[in-house]
This record gives sequence, C-alpha cells and structure tokens, in this order.
Amino acid sequence: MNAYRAEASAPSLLLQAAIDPRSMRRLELSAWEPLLSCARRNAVLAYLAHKAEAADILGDVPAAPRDAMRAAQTAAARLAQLALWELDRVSRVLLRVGIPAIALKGAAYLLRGMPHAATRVLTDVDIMVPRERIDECERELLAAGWKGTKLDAYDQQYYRRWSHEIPPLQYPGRMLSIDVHHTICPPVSRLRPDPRAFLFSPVDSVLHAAIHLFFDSDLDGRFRDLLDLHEMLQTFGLREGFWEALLRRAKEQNLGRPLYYAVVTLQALLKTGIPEDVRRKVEQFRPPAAVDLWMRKTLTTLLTPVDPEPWPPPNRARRWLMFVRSHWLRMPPHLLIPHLLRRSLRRVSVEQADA
Amino acid sequence: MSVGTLAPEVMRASLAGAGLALRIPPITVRLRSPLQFLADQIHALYRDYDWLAADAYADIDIRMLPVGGLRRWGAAQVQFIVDGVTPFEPFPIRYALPMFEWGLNWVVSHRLHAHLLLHCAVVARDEGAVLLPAWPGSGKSTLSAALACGGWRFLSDEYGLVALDDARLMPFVRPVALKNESIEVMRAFAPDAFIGPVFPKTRKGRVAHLRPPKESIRRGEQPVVARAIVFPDFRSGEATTVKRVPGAAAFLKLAGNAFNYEVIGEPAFHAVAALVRGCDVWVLRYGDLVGARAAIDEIMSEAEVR
Repeated sequence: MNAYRAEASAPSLLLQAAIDPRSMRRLELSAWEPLLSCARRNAVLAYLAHKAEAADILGDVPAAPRDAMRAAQTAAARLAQLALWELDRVSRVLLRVGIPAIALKGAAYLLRGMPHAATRVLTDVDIMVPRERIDECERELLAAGWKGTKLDAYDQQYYRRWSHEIPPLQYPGRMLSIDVHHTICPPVSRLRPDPRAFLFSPVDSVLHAAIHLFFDSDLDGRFRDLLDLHEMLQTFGLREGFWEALLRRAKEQNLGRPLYYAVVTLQALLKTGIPEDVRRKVEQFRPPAAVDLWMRKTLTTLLTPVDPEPWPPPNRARRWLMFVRSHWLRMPPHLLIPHLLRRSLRRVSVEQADA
Repeated sequence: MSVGTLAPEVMRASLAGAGLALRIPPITVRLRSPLQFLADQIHALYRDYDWLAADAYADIDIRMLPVGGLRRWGAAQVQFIVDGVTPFEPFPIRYALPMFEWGLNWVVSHRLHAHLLLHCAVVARDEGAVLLPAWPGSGKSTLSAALACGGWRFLSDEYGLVALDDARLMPFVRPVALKNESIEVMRAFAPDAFIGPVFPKTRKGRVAHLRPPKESIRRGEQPVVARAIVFPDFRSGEATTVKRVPGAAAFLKLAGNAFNYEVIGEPAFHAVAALVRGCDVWVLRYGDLVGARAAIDEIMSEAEVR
C-alpha cells in the first residue's frame, strides 16, 4: 500500500459511501482520491454524486472532488438524454410495423423515472421484442439506417444461436448502440422462464436484473449492476404487496435461485433494507450447502467494488470460473467446451499479435 | 516547490513509489512509474511546474507500467493505466512520454466538464486573451508556441478552458506537442527554448515536446478575458492576410469543434455566445511565423482599444 492512501481500502470507502452517503462528510481530503478513483473504476461516480446530493451533503464536499462529482453527473445525464433519444427513434420504426418492444435495464430505469437512472454510464440501449419477430425487427432497423456491428461469422452465429440477442445495431454518428433481445434467458439455458409471461412490472424488473447479473454475466466489475438491484428493492420495497409478489413470482417462474443470490449478496455488501421474513423465505431457494458456501464467497468477492490499485488485477481464477459458469448456464456441455477453447485460443493469438 | 528543485534520483524514486503529485493548473495529476527514463524526461519537461506533497488530493491518477503477462516475450511495451483501467493498447516502451501526454489529454477531455473545453490554443497579452481555434493542419500549436516564445503569455496549445459562469479563459499550460517540420521551425525560431526528445513515426508523425515559458507556468492559476478569436490558416509561401468572420459563423466553428459542448448543453451555448459577442473574430492566412505574429499583435491592439 502506498503512503498517500487513507487507512480504509478504496472499495470499503465506496461501499460505506453507498450505504450511508452522509458518512462522506467525515472523510478527510486524502480519502477522497481513492474513493473517487474507485468510483470511476466501477462506473458509479455519478451515482455517488447523486447520493450525496440526495442526502444534501454535496455542498459539504471539498471543492475538487465536488467538481469531479458534478462533472460525472453532467456526463451521465448526457448519456441518459442520448438513450431516451435512441429509444424514441427505435420505437418510431417499430411502432409503424406494430412490433411491441419492452425497454430493459438502463433504458427501463429511465422510463420509470428512477432517481438513479440518469447516473448510469450507459453504453447501449436494451430492448426486448417477441421472439418470432426478432428477424423482422432487425430488418426494419437496418432498413431505417442502423448498421450491424462487424463480427466474424463465428460470433454472428454465437449471438444468434446461443445468446439471447442479435448483434448490436448502431446508427451512424450516434454514440449508443441498440441491443435487441428476444427472451430474457438464452434459448438453451438450463433456467428457462416463459418469455410470454414477462411483463414490464417492478417484480419482473427485479427478477430480470437478478438473472442477468447472477446467471448471464461473468460478474467482472458488475458492482453497478448490484446497485441497480439495491435501488430497485429500496424503491419498490416501499410498495404495498411488493415483497409477497416478488417471492410468489420467483417461485412460479423457477427464478428463486437468482433471487436468493441477489438477497444474500445485497445484504452482505450493501445492507439493503430487505425485510427479515423475506430474507428467511428466500432460504428455500438456496443451493446445496457446499455450492452455497462457494457461491456466497465468490459473489461477495467479485461483486465488491473493484479496487483500482492492485496491478495486475487479482482474483483472475475466480473470475475465469465465473466466466465459464455463465457459459455453462447458457450452452450444453458438448458445445461449451469447443466454444471456450475457441475463445482462449483467440485471446492468445490476439495477445501475440499485439506483442 | 518546482519539479526542477528535485534531484533526479529523488524524482525517479518518487515516481517509482507513492507517485509525484504534479500541479498542472487547474488540475493535479499523480504519476507513478518505475521507468527511469520517463522520470528523467518528465523532470526536464515539467521542470518549472509545482509538485505537491504525496498526500495531496490528485484529480487524475496515472500509472505508466511496463506490460507483463503473455506480452512479456515480445518487444518491451508500456501501458497507460488510469484508475485501474487501460483505455489504450500498449505502446512500445520508448514512447512512454508521448503516451502520457496524449493519455492525459484524453482523460481531461472526458472529465473536465466543469469547463467548456474548446479545441483551440490560447495566448494572452496584458489582461486579454486570443483564441486560436483548431482547423486541421492550421498550425495552431506552432503559432501559439511562437507567440509564447515571443513574449506572449501561453495558456494552452490544445484546450481553451472556458468558465461557464463568466466565460473567462482558464490556463491549462501543457508542454507543446510539436509535429514534423514544426520541430525544426521552432528550433530555428526560438533557439533557447527547451525541446525534449524527438519521437519518430507516431500516429501524427514525428513528435517532440516544447517546454512552455516559466512565467506562463507561474501564472497558471490566473484566468483571463478573451478579446479576440483568430482562426489560423497556414499556407506555405503565402503572404499574411486577415479577414473578419461574422459572429454566427464563428459560433458554429467554436461550438462544433469543442470537446464537450453537447455534454454540457445549455451553459455551453451561453458561454460560446458570450465569447463571440465579446471578441473580434478573424481568419488569419499566413505563410511565416513572423508575419503571423505581427498580424496578431495588431489585431490585439485594435481589440484593446475597442
């Protein structure tokens, strides 16, 4: 550890600030640099600024970090504006031909008017359309001027067959690409909810975010996705009947496991206000004890904010296993192994070409 | 305390350890690197800049580290790490200095939204500034370096930092990145100026960095009011001519070329409007630095009378 560092580690400073924004008032100037650096590394500086503002303490923050926080808010707000514009342009095309689209993730939080929505560092806009109309949707968007991302034939095939989306589309000159999904889980996944049953309700938003994070990602640098769940549960949790509906829905859709992971990870890292009886009831979705132990350890390790300081970044083995797991959940084993081999071989050849 | 007061060994040791907190107003940059040659190059180029105590708050944290892992077997490379992220592919290790300079510019243009970031060089005389907005190949870097070496106060060769409340220009004094023939032109024009090593075959051709005048660095925290906007238009061998530009055209050129105009939105619109209203705007076509400098002197004298 370097001499200039504050006592606490940067990730614990960030967690503390997210849990209790008012605690930022007590920080010494020397703690602000690791805190902001860590927030940037995890793409949540604008979120932190928003929390400080909501707690009415942004004015107490020393000038230099305060300027940095406001600047991050400005940049994120511009991305939110672009995302709403992209959504507006896409829906103009899709409405004309009567394809219903559901906004997902960042775009959905914006449409819902969630307070933290305009703090997310967006890179794309996600929508979901009925599975049988996804080809038509792609054709319409291409005809309206969007361009497909250049991918080799293998990646094209992978996206279309084993993932749950078509390759990203981008309108020339615009910053955000559009990701069109068809079902929430990949078609061959071991965990398949009924796509027709998904509505754009708070309960489904939470379950979607939970599947996306715990079953469909490599968990690499996904602290901000955990914050999405944190924000949703804190907002929706105040509504009458939300928790009962969430548990019921998870059970009926066979999505108890991701909900369980969400609850235990949020509880461990962000002290999210989840009622005692809900925490008890999700225990029914717990995996076998040994898996549970390993997963809880892995989830809290990997979903803790990434520390920008250690170089090269640690936890490579755990991250790689989770990357393999995200594919294991997506593809049958006889396809998985050739796919992973292909990915690693390509990574090696890219590194050699760079050298 | 200026960087020049540090002994070279101390400079190397601090870069290799907790890092050097380099004050480049209006920001503080923490640089860490085990590369001794980089420490020596920074030591020379940033001689007149202040450094702060290691526990000072830095706005930007940069590490320049040799590449490890699989790449270790190839030619030596260096990577640019900001907040634990590597936004660029590694460079050959001897290009660490230009990579640091470009990388820092890149970070600034993605972060400094407290100011409108115009793409222009800025120089000042007395209390008034001239903006030299960039046109491709216009030679704004060379022209601003020439003015800086000829007694003008140098604020930037790349960024016009405009305060959003009063449209004043904040200095952002950086080493001037001279490209290709400009290197020889400046050596001839200002033989006493310090120019760092020449880096051949970069993306932008040959590059070398000129150390800005000490007095300009010393006044790095003092903003100035813009008096004139001059679009430089270098035409080899041509005579110097100036022509007025209508305000609306100047507005579009300034705003359209800014780094964060769209990000900031309405306050940026008002800042550009205030600049254009408060300035005489000219196109300066020139074939040599002496003629250009005389023309800008004259434009400024006229603007000051106004």
